[in-house]
Amino acid sequence: MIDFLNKNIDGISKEKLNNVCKININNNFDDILLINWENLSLDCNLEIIIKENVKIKLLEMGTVKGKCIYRVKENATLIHNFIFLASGGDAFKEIFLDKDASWEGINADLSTENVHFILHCYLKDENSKGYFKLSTLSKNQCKKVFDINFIHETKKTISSMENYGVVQNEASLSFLGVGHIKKGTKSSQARQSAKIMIFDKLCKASASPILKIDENDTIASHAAALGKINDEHLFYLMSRGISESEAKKIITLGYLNPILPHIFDEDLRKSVEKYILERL
Amino acid sequence: MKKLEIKNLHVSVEGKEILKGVNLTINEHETVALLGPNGHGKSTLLSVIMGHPKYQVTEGEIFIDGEDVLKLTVDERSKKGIFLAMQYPSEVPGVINSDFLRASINAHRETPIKLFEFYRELDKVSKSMDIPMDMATRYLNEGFSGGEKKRNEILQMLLLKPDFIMLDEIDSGLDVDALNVVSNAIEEMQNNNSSLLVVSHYARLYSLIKPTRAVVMINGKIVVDGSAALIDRIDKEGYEWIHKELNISIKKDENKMNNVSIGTCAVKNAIKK
Ligand SMILES: Nc1ncnc2c1ncn2[C@@H]1O[C@H](COP(=O)(O)OP(=O)(O)O)[C@@H](O)[C@H]1O
Ligand SMILES: [Mg+2]
Repeated sequence: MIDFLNKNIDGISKEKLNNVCKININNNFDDILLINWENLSLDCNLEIIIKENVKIKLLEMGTVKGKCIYRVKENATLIHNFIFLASGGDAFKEIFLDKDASWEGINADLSTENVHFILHCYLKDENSKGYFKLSTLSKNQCKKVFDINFIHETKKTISSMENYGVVQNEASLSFLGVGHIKKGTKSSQARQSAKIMIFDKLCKASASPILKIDENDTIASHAAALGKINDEHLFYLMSRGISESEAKKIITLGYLNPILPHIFDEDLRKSVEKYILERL
Repeated sequence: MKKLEIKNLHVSVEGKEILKGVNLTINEHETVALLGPNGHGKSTLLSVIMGHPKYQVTEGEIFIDGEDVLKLTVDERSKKGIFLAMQYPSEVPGVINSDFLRASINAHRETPIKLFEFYRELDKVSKSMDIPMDMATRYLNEGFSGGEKKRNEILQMLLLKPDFIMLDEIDSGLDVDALNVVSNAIEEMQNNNSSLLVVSHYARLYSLIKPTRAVVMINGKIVVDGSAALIDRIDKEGYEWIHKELNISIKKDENKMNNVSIGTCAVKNAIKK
């Protein structure tokens, strides 16, 4: 992994303008680019520009106060992991996608603190694609909000998000966010699905993903499911001899584990898996 | 298992009585065909024996080798050797099939199966079932075709080797080749001394697995208990003769699901009268 923020790295150039730190990523990296916010803070807004045709994997550990902007230029690809294992906090991200650009955001959140994550992904030009997938666990007295938005500004743009959450004890969890398909953005697609498994009486959970569609020629889908563990699933597992408590655990892991194949670093994937098991 | 006894079993779901005094005994080495028109309580009986929480037993008893089954939790029943291949197996998102299979096997053992041993066993059984290995890495029944779900149920049966096996319309949605594969697996269990209670609408499955006995459920009761010859008779004549000979009127299924079934036409005729 390359910890690039405070180091000089070939292929990465930096400039500071007024209150903005700009980082240009000028060529491909096979290695993962890392920002570990657990021991960093920002004294400016951060802007990361992924140059035309460049493909990178960017890993951010934890959150940071202050705005981060990501500009994915023509035909560039940003594969993005947001992993919150320890501290929670606020995060505000904006993603801008140019022609043929694609962004894949993967968020595994097992932090034991409040989280307020706001993300706006702008699909600015044709054939840009945005994808977001979240697994989160909110327990004890945590309050967690994920406000994930996709804004389709041109035709032939595709967005998709899948948010999965488990809420326990007295914690709260809400999935907000809008998929906005603006007028004139023909042949665009927006998919949203949100699922929250609610464990205890005092939990608060809400999933209100909204699709705002101003264009007729679009494909949009939209699903939200909130509820207790499914009795039929429980019966099925128990009918094979699995105890009630283990069956519940297996079914709940089924909510959170599908994030794992999307975590690009193998060691990190193993530790996320371990955290999911331990924290549940 | 030596004996499963069901005595005067009454079962309701959401306040509606479905089973109205079922009496049935299944002995060691028996393969019993459970016949009857749609909607008369066959799946209900099987689910109640397995312990589905949706059903309330209002009266009656079930014993396995003298032990009160109704007192046992669902997982305890499985550990006693009871197995149900479901008519509609659940799709469980995010749960990897092989993880589920391994947890099921481990639930029946003192010490967890070694990974190597598990995969060897799974590979062997999958091959015998004509199941591609990649089915093990998919999510449990999610996006499986009807036939794949049924084969996955039989795969579980082979891995767990239960004593008392209930098969609920295991042959629906299977093509001829898959049916042969499934009936071979059932035969393996018969040779393994398991007892079976088998619901099917098709004489073809029964001709392959050769039940030792057949019973007919009508209106939530077992009304005929006899030899396997009953299967052929019902296949040819339907259920009308029961109406005539035993003077039992046959209730029509309100939410009928399956049109092709042994005796469907005869049931319709019986109702018209
Ligand atoms: N949840 C339920 N609420 C009300 N009635 C039900 C419910 N589940 C099953 N039933 C009814 O129970 C009856 C027996 O169903 P089932 O056992 O599935 O029949 P079979 O397997 O013989 O076709 C049917 O009339 C069905 O409509
Ligand atoms: Mg049925």
